[in-house]
Order: sequence, then structure tokens, then C-alpha cells
Amino acid sequence: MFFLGTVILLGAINFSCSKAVINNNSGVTDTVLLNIGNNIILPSYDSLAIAADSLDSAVVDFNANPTAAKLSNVQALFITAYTAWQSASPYDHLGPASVAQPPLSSINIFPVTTTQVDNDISQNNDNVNSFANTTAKGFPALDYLLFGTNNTTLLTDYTTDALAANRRAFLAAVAADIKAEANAVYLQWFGGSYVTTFVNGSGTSVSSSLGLLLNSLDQDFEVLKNDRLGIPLGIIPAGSSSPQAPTEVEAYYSGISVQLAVKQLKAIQGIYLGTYQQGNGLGLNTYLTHAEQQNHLNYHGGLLSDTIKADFTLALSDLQAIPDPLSANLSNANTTAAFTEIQQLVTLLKTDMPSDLGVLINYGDNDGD
Amino acid sequence: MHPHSQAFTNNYKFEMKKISIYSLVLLVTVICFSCSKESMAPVPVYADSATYDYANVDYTPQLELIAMADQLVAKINTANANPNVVVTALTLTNMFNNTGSPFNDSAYNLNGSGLALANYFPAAAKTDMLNYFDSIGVYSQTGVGASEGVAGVDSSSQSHSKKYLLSPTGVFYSQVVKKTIMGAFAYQIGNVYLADSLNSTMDTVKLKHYWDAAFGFFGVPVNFPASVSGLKYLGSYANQVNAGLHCNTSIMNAFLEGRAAISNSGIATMKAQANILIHTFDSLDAAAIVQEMHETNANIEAGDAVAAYGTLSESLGFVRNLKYNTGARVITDAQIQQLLELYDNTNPDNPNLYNFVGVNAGLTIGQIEAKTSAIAQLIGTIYGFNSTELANL
Repeated sequence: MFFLGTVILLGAINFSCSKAVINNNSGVTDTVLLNIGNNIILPSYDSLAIAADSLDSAVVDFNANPTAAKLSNVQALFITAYTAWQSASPYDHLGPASVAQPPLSSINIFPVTTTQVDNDISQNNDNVNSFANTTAKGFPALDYLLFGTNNTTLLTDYTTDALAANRRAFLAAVAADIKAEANAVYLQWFGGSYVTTFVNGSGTSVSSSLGLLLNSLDQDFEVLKNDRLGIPLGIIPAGSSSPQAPTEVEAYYSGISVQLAVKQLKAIQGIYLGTYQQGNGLGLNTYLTHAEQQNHLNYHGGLLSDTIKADFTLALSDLQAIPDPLSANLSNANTTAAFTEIQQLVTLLKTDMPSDLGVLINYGDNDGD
Repeated sequence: MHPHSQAFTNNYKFEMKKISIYSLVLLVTVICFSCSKESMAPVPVYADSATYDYANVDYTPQLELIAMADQLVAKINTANANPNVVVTALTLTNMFNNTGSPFNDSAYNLNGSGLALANYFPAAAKTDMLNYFDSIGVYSQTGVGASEGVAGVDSSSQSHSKKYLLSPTGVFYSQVVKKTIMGAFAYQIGNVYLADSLNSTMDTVKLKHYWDAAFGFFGVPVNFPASVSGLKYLGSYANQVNAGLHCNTSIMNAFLEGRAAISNSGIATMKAQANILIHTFDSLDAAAIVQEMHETNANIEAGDAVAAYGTLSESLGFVRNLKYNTGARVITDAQIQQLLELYDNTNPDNPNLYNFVGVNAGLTIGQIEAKTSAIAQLIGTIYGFNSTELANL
């Protein structure tokens, strides 16, 4: 006689398998992806492309006959386009933006290397897509080219200065490049129908639309935390001897750093709520509340979805309380408060929510191990 | 009949008593809604623990050698500071050989342990390490900033406090050394403990000891991958490439199953698990090369040439590791040469990373990424990684 002990181990429930979500390969169109793809992402790229087109036209017009009025026009359209960028950047690591050559994110690598811009101008080098120009192209370069000094001096720089012709040519090259890159990605989504691919990318694997979107969104959100706030504040990299770095804010010369950061935060909040642009309210929050109900999840006695919503509101109000230019207001209490709030929100969006949704966050902050 | 239940029946027939007292049939059921095929792991037969927690397990020597490696690398990294701190080849060689009490003994008794990293390196890797120490000794004395043709220190443009001591050709030897250490640990696991050592005896006490030593060099906590804290060297990289290679669970399960098999005299199973591990660690090194290509691309896209030299140097270390594996490996010597030539066609043994990134040659991001892509694709072809796996590494 023998006794056979049988132990059934329910183990190894790994990330991509355990939690029920709407997005489950059932063959039914995922209405959240439908909303995000058609009503949020596509209009965001459309806005960016349109704004880039207008900016480029204004630059061409300015270059033909630089006047103070035309300079102001270019400057205004620059602000519009840079603002539009903030709601396109959350998708940098997904789909057409990420496989474009160069990737679309290349139009906003800040801070600008002004010496490279000056060098390009003096050498009459308009090859904005060389590796050396990685931090001397796109919006950061325009920020310097259009706001690097007062408007009176700028006008002479583009008219009577010895390098005026070179400068106009470089300005044209930078603007044309932004237009080309923005339009190329937009066309992939619209004419190339990537939106269909996106909507049909159901599931929660790393290559599903939700997986790609969450990873991309989190990475973009970390740029808000690290690059727009943390590095200028001197909090990143960690260490007591990190001084404030005001020149490293986004849009240092035009002084619209807070305005841009607010736009970016609103865009990410809008993706979460599913309400951004023309969204109908089906967003990441929809997936999360579903998962919370299905799996009886709670977060410190409440709901993670409620905490995230509240934290977005708090982060936004902290951010909106910072006066522009950010570079002159790094010691403002609201700036540190905004950073802290955003830092907490990063944890929720990068760890807690993906865990509840069954999505793996697989981009690393690898320290060159 | 299912192979595992066949094994059970055989055991039952011939070792009834053992079964009645000892054996438990464990069904590890993975409950999932959208699992891919890769996550359906083979059902273990002997494994009776989800963690590497056994009586008489001991891999303290391996933990001590890992601690020595950490201190060696830390010493090399002191040379990254600006103004340059000199690190002599003698200092590094002494740590490598554990002579002259070179270690900080606060955690382990390293200096008096009688262990030396040098004794765990295959000959080719040891020669390379000593050459790297010589180079680091020379480069750390230049006292200048790095530029093409001039060794010295340079900073990441994304993170100015991250500094790198670069060779005249832009190679970051600190990382090459760190990866060579991983190569030595992998050699010990794949070519020594799980191969020659296992084949040298039938004594289960000795077999368990070799098995534990192999696990010790993996560098993970006993409850990996449930816990991914404190990962070292191979363990750290297993986790970094897991999304593409799916190796965390497969490596750990093989270690657990093999260990339990030894306890139950399941020698055939032990050898099968050893085989899985040998092949997985080979793939792991290859996968790490691809992972470094992704990191290099990210650095390139951020305009950070210096950080790109860093990640390219990491990948170079992994490439050089491939040849230290004198046992079962997928890549051939000729293919390794082919791979090195993708870094530098004219000087594959000492590639010029300044040329690779081509800062002064006006290369576009696309042109640079075509080079990293070529390296990743070659690895993918040789090791059978499909495009999805390559993308996720």
C-alpha cells in the first residue's frame, strides 16, 4: 500500500497571463483601442502635422523677406507647433514614430547644443540629420534660432549680419525637417492605416497595442519627471552635489517650459481618461476599473483608478501654479511640489497599473550594468 | 503515454518504497488567459521546491568571488573620475590574484579565503584580463579628456556625472572587464561544473556540490525570479533579456529540477537539465549582445556618443566571451570573426568605436543604426532569434 501525495501547485502566474482584461483576443474589436487610436492618437498627429506645415510656411515667408511682423508670426507658430508636439510625444515608442528613420522623437532632443548650431551656421552645414546634429535640430534648435536673443538683434542676424544667408538656410532646413518627419508619421497612421493595426492589436503582451502604448506613455511621462523637471532642479541624477541646471529646461530660450509641460501632462491624463482630443471617455481607466472589478483589486483600501485620477488632478494644479519661465523659478516651492507629485504618479503608472492590467513594462533605466 | 507519467510508472515499478515515502507529484499549473506558447514549460518530475533552498547547500565561494569581482570593477571605475585617478595594472592584478590583501573584508573574509578570480578564468580570458589591466593602467595616467586617438575621460551628454575612461579607440574597458568576468562565470557553469565535473563522479554529494557552485555563479536570490533583487552579472542579464529569451523561469526550473534529480539519483534528468543550462547560458550571452544594440540605439537617438561607446563596449565584451566557451555553443569561430568585423572591418580585434559612431564623419542616425542592426541580425540568424524576440531582447 502506498500513499501518493499529490500537491497541486498553482504557481508561476507570470505577468502576461494572469489578469482578465477587456483586451483579450476574443475577436471583438476593443472599443478602448478604437477610441484611443481614432479619436486621440490620430488627431494628435494630425494637429502636429498641420502645425508643422504652418510653421514651415511661415519660415519660408520670413526668409523671403525678414520683417519684425513675420518674425513674430514665426515665433507664434513655433509655440503652436511645439505645444502640439507635447500631445504626440506619448506615442514616440510605438508604431510609425518609433520605426521612422530618424525616429520622430529626434525632433525634440533637448537641451540644444548651441555651439553645434552656431558651427553649422558658420560652416553653412544644413545636414540636420547627421549624428552630430542630434541636439542641434528640431524644436530645441528653433527655440534657440527664434528666441536666442532679443527680436531686434535677431532681425539683423537674419538680414544684415555676415552669416545671415547661412542662418536663414539653416532655419529653413530645421523647419523643413520637422514638417517632413511629422507628416511622414501622420501619413502612416492615416493613409498607411496604422490605426487599423493599432486597433486590432489586442491582448496584453509586450507587442500588443496596450503593451506598446503603456510602455511608450510611461517613458514619455518619465521625460516629464526627469528631463523637464528633475535635471533642471538638480534632483536628477541623485546626489547632494547636483546643482540646479536652468539652461537644461525644455524651451529655455522661448521661456514656455511650464506651458509645454502642462500640455504634456494634460495629454497623458487625457489618454488615461480617454477624453483627450475627440475621445469619448474610453481610456486606460476603463481597462483598470474593469480589472479592479473582475479581480477584486484594491489599493491601500481604495481603488488605484481613483488614486491615479486624483493624482493627475493634483499634479496638474501643482504644475499650473509654477510661473513661466521655469528656468527662473526652479526654487519656487510649486516646482518641487510638482516634481514630487509627478514622481509618485510615475510609480502608479509604471508599476501598480501595469501590474493590475497584466502588462509588462520592459524598458529599462539600465545603468550600463 | 505522456513521457513524465511513463517515468513515474517506471519509478513506481522499481522503487515503490521510495515513492511511497518521498515522492510528490507536483503539477505546476500555469493559469492564463492569453499565454503564449513559450510560457508552457515542461512539467518537472523531481523538483520539490520552488526555491533553491536545500539542506547542505553551499555556494559561499562563488558569492565571495562575485564580491571580489564587484570590488575589482569598482576599483577600475575610480579611474573614471575627473581629474583622472590613476589605477595601476599591479593593483588590478593583485585583486585578480588575491595577493597582498587587496580587498575590503567587511562582508566576507575575502583576503584570507584562499580564493582568487584568476583561478576561475579559462586561459584565453585570463590573458585578455591581464591585457585589459595593462591598458587601464596606461590610460588612467593620461590626465586628459578623451578624443579619437587619445585615451582619457569623457562624460555622457545625457547625464554629465556619468564618466567613462576611454581607450584611444573609444573602448570603455571597465565594461569589457565586467563582461569578461561574466564570461568566466559562464565558463565555470557551462564548461566546468555542469560538464566535466558532473561527468567525473557518481557521488551525489559531490554532484550536488558542483550543481550548487554552478547556481552560485548565476548570481540570483534563492527565490528568483519571484524576486529580482540583488541580481549579479549573469543573473542581472538573464533578467534584462528575459522579455525576448524567456530565460528567467527556464534557467531557474532547470537548476531546481536538476538539483532534485540528483537527490533522487535521477542522473539522466540531471544531465538533461545540465544540457538545458549549458545551451541557455550560451544563448544568454548572444542575447545580451542584441540588448546592448538596443541600448546603443537609444544613446544614439539621444545624441550621446559617449554613452554609445559605453554600450558598444559592453556588447564587445559579450562578443569576446563567445570564444571562451570551449564546450557546446551555437556560434562558430568563423562567425565570431564575422561578428567582430561588423564593429570594425579593418581592425576587428581592436575596433575603433569613434568610426563606428562616426561623429566627425557626418553619419546619420539611420546609418549608425544600420550597423547596430547588422550585428543584431547576425546574432539573430546564428542563434535562431526571430524578429519579435530580437525586438524584445
